Amino acid sequence: MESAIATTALTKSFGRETALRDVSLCIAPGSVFALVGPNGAGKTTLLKILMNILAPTAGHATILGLPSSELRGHAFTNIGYVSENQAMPEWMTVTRFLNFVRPLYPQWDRALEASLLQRFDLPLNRRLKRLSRGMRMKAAFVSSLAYRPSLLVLDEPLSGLDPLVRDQLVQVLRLLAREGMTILLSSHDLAEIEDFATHLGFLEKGTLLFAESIPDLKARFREVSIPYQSALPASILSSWWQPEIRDGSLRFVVADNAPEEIAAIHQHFPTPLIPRIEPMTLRAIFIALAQSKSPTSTLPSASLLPTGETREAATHTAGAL
Amino acid sequence: MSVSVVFAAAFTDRYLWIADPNDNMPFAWRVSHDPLRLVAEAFVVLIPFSWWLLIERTVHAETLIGDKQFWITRPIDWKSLLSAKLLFLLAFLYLPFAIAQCIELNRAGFPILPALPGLLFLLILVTGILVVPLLTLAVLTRNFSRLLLTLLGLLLAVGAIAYVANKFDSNSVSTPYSDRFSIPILLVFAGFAIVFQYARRKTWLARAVLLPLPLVIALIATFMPNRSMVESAYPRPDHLAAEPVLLTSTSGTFMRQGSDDGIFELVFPMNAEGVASNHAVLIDNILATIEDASWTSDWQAVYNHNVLPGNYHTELVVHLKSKDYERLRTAPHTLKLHFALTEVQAGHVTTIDHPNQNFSISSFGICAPSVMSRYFDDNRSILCRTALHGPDLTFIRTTGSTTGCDAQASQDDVPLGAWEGSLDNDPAEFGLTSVWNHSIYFANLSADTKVSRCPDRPLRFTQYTLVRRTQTELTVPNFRFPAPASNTFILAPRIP
Repeated sequence: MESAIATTALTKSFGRETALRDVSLCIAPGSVFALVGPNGAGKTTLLKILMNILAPTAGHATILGLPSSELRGHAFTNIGYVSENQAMPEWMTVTRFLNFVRPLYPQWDRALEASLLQRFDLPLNRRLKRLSRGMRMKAAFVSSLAYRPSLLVLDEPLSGLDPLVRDQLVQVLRLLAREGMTILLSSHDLAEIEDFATHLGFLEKGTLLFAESIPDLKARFREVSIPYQSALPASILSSWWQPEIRDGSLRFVVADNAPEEIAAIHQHFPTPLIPRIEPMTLRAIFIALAQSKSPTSTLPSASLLPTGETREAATHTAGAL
Repeated sequence: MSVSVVFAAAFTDRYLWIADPNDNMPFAWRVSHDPLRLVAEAFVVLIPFSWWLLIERTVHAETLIGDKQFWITRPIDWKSLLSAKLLFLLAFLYLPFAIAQCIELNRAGFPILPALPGLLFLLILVTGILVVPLLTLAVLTRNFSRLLLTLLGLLLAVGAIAYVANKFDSNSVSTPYSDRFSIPILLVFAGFAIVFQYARRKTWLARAVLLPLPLVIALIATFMPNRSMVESAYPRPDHLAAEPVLLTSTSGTFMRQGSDDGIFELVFPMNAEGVASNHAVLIDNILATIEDASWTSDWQAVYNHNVLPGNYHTELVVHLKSKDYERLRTAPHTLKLHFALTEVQAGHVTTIDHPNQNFSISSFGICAPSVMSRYFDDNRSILCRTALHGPDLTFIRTTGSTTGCDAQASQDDVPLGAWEGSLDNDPAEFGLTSVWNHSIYFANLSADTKVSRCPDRPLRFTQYTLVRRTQTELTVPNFRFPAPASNTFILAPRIP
């Protein structure tokens, strides 16, 4: 099946600053892809390139089979884009705004529009500039969802919203995702998206550190703890991430929950040392991955000593968990 | 946006309301001395400002620069967007303006239907001179403040270039097609930049499209300098063709300081005769050469030197740089004066026997006798208004008197005359008003003295049409440049 979004070595520079570096990404139709990373990581730049708001310095991207550079006009009848930075026609009331955008979309669903308006409880006769940030975001959502786009691109849609509004928006996104809509959203907060995202990508300083499905991540990663009183043993395998002695145990992470890997652990720590091998939370996996600074395809050879900046960024991004 | 629309409409409407020519005031007062007229003219000045605001709002409502605009991720086709903008300007700028011009023409007594082609041409001129430049600037700027700064910068740059150009070449020439290129070139470049920016939103590339514009204009100026334009418009006659006028120099040539530093004015007293009956010759440009010193002046415009049949004395001026003067003054030379001439033939004649009321002359306009103004005695003149452009070239004769105007002609009567209009046959001249006012002052044809026009005496309007444009020359042997005279001024060339 053709990807909903595919990028190849996408690079964007602003003068001497490189905002994106060789980003290659593939998002399958129907997936909810969460692009996370700290502020300034390049998430918004990537989304703007995908929406043809910015032109890449190198590389290319296709959106629903169309080169991103050709994305304009009619192509947007099937794409929704909501950004916290997007300027809205603020002199319009909500009703007038919807009246303005409705004719642009032949497949506009009045019933869905009515349903969304009811769910969001939007003040229809108030000008957009007089709406709160949450309300304005809801209005943007209605205008971008009511035509049931195949692809929905959301740039930090939930940041700064109060929990109630956030829940309302997430519920709607979850519903639409179930209907098969492809959603790409960016966030600097893992907690915002882990409930409904199917895929996770981590961008830091313009580099995509990993991109993988969340069930696969959860199935693959395990935290191992073994009662251990002395110092770190010298015979630690390179596939054991973040080894440390904590609370009287040797703890590390394995990125490949394969039988041979588990067997190797048992072989390394014979009875009476019984390793406890447990599933990890997404936050823990995320921090482990981010700190490894390694693409998923080469995870086992990742460095065991991540830089302080990466650790800080990953911790910040996962902080909400 | 709505404020801009209101401003644009209000200034247009306000101008019309104040400039209503059907009020009870004498027509002559309204032309130049009435305070309300001055207010109306102030509103004319405000019209382009309101248009600027309107165009700025129209374009920047969906700005093309930036990455936060709402519309760029919506299914809005650039062609539809651009068409919508143009349609909006058509409805709220062009239509009110065109309606206002029709109302103004109607109130001024001109029929609207025959004026429609001219009105259309006026709209094209307004598009090229005002709308497209403002639209281009708006398309290539992000917001109002950037547009304002760009506009001010451009005005300063144009002023600086004009100042520098004037320093290098202060001479202007009169040709029938001096400025036929600027507007089409501007329209092509600016139009391309606008379309490109809407289609691609690559602002720096769109701006780069405009960069060659000054270069192209400079190239045209280089390859079509004044000399080429005059030589092209006024071909040298073949030897068999009769000279349209015989020009001879008379004694009394003198030199004076020009208005610009480093420029002298060489004043040649001349006789002009030999103009065929029912013809006239307009001396448009003059050029001086001294072959033995390898010196040639630029072609220089000569104003208000129109020669009728008969023998006339006139003075023509050639400007020359002081450094050329210093080089040439040391020895006598053979000086050749070349004249670019337009020969015209008298055509339709209309005589107004009793010009006491408003009267209409076809191809000229609607005129009224001047009345005693509040401020000064203006009864030597008549006041005319024309639709969309100046009148056709016309010579107006009447009589005045040095002793007082009796009802009957007397020995004290003095012939008076005035040239008005031009051979320019464009259907409209650029302006924000479609009614042009002209005060026509009469000169004494027999002596260089002021004589009042007799208001009851007939006015004879003779319209002239083009016969040919040509050149003639006059050789002055053993010419020695005179020393510059101090405090020598000529108030105005004498009309023959």
